[in-house]
Amino acid sequence: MAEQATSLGQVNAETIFFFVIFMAATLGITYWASKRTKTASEFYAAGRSITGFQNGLALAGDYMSAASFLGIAGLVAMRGYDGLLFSVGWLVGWPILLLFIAEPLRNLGKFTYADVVAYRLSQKPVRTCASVATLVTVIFYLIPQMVGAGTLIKLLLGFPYELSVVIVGVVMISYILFGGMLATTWVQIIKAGLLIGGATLVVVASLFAFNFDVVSLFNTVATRYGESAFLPGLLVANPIDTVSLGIALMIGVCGLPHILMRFYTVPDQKAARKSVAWATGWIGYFYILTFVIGFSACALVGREIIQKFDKGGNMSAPLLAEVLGGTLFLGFLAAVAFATILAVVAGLTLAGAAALAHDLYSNVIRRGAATEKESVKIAKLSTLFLGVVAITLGIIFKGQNVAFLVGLAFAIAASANFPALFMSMFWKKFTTSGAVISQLTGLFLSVGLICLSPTVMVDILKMGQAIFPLKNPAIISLPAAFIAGYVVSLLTPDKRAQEMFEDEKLRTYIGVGAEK
Amino acid sequence: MMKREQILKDPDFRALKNNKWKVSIILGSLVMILYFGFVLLMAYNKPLFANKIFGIYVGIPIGIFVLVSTILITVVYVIWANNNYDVLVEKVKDKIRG
Repeated sequence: MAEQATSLGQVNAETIFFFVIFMAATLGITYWASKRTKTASEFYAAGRSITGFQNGLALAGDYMSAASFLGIAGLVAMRGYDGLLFSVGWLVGWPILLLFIAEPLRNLGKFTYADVVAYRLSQKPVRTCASVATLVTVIFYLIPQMVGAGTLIKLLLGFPYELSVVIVGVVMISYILFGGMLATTWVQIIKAGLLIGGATLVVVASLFAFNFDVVSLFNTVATRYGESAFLPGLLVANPIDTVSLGIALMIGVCGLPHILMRFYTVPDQKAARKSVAWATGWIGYFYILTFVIGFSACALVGREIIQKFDKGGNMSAPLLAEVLGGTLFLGFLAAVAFATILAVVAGLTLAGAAALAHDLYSNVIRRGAATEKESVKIAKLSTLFLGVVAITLGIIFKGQNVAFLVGLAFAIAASANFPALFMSMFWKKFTTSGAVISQLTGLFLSVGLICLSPTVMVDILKMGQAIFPLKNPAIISLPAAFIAGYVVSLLTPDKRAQEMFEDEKLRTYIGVGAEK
Repeated sequence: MMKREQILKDPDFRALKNNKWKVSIILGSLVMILYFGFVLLMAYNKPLFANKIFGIYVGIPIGIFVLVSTILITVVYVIWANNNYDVLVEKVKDKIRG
């Protein structure tokens, strides 16, 4: 490998082939979905026609970003064992989502998680706050995806950065605009299948190179880079930092608008429940694969070579694929990475459009008087608008260090969205003012603290020292949002909301009156 | 046919609600213990990770154990809910229909 040249970063026939097949397949599905996407329930929730198994795959496709595929494999390749801590952190939120959120969320809501937060409270203030929090989460999450898309496609296919960002934006907009949630779901399912299948192939090929002897794979790494590759390293130097990031990742999953929205695509609580177990299984299996891929890249490609292409190690998996299966395998994996980004940005943009159209326009501005046709029209305009915003931000942030925004998006989801959602579902005395203050506290505290943290002050502004010592604010902002919601609710008792809580119980636990 | 107020006081409905919380809290605590235990183990017992088991550094089986247990916890919940929770849900729904 050291001597031979790589086709990474060059346009070649194999890559274009897989790329064209993927585009043709997904656009074909979009055409098919467009004939089945007329009503609001079809546009936002695929007509609630998705099965538990399908939704499990789609959830996995919505969640596993290129960052987790290329990033975790790269982290393991370059820094060893620490990478595993990350993948575990990305997974542990899913059982929490299953145990406390998924079923009641499906029973109580219609299209967005704000439906549930506002269920027995004042629609206007609560939905306004929830949709602002949704939009902030979505945009902070979208920026690193778009920047990653530009960088990645440039590295993998050799397209210019700006062109790559525009392609991703335009394709994603057309999925949603024409095929709504149904097309988005199937893009996510295909992507999950490709990603899991592709990663499995890489792992089998890597193990084949070691005669399926895992011990010899690990020993090769240990001989080359020392035992430190298997020991906890820098990531856990400050345990409180790690715990804070852990809280953000774990609880963030339960507050990510594009993940929560997926539960409205299934017919009932039973299917919602099954879909989380499937998703957890697929994502967990995939993380075990990325771990093996990371160590295999370390052993078969080598850190020195990986580093030449990208300092963070993001090219480990594609380089490993090329060593194992030549340009054909590399091309396949490049197309998979492209599919990965598309599925995630489509899910995010659709969640943002739902917040703008369903929450802000239909329920706040038109106070529930908007017709279905109107709502879908506004949702499509919102999609177009958010798509343009995503492309613009992707180009503006070119070359900037935006990886920390993912951690921030999780912190906001955990602190602004989750506490209000949880208290609204399960605490009788929760009130409108409590919901508003809780959401605002979570939002402003997580954004404010990250501005004062080493992530921004030291790493980006190069100021030497930070005012707030932790890299992720969740350990402070999440409890603060709970306390604020609790105290304010007790100060502003709301009789009507308490009475409705009793009514709501039948719907929460057994799904009586849930949206069909 | 039972009224809403009666259903809310119905022993089956209360059992359904209480059982769900019990199971959720037990399994949820298990997830927390697994994950934060893993983080703290990495932070405070680094020498442990230098040991080998069957020729592999112990960190690897420990990490895989945490990932696999996380998946198993969701499976346990789904099996429980399909076989217990849903039975009570149907029972209560029958009472509502009368």
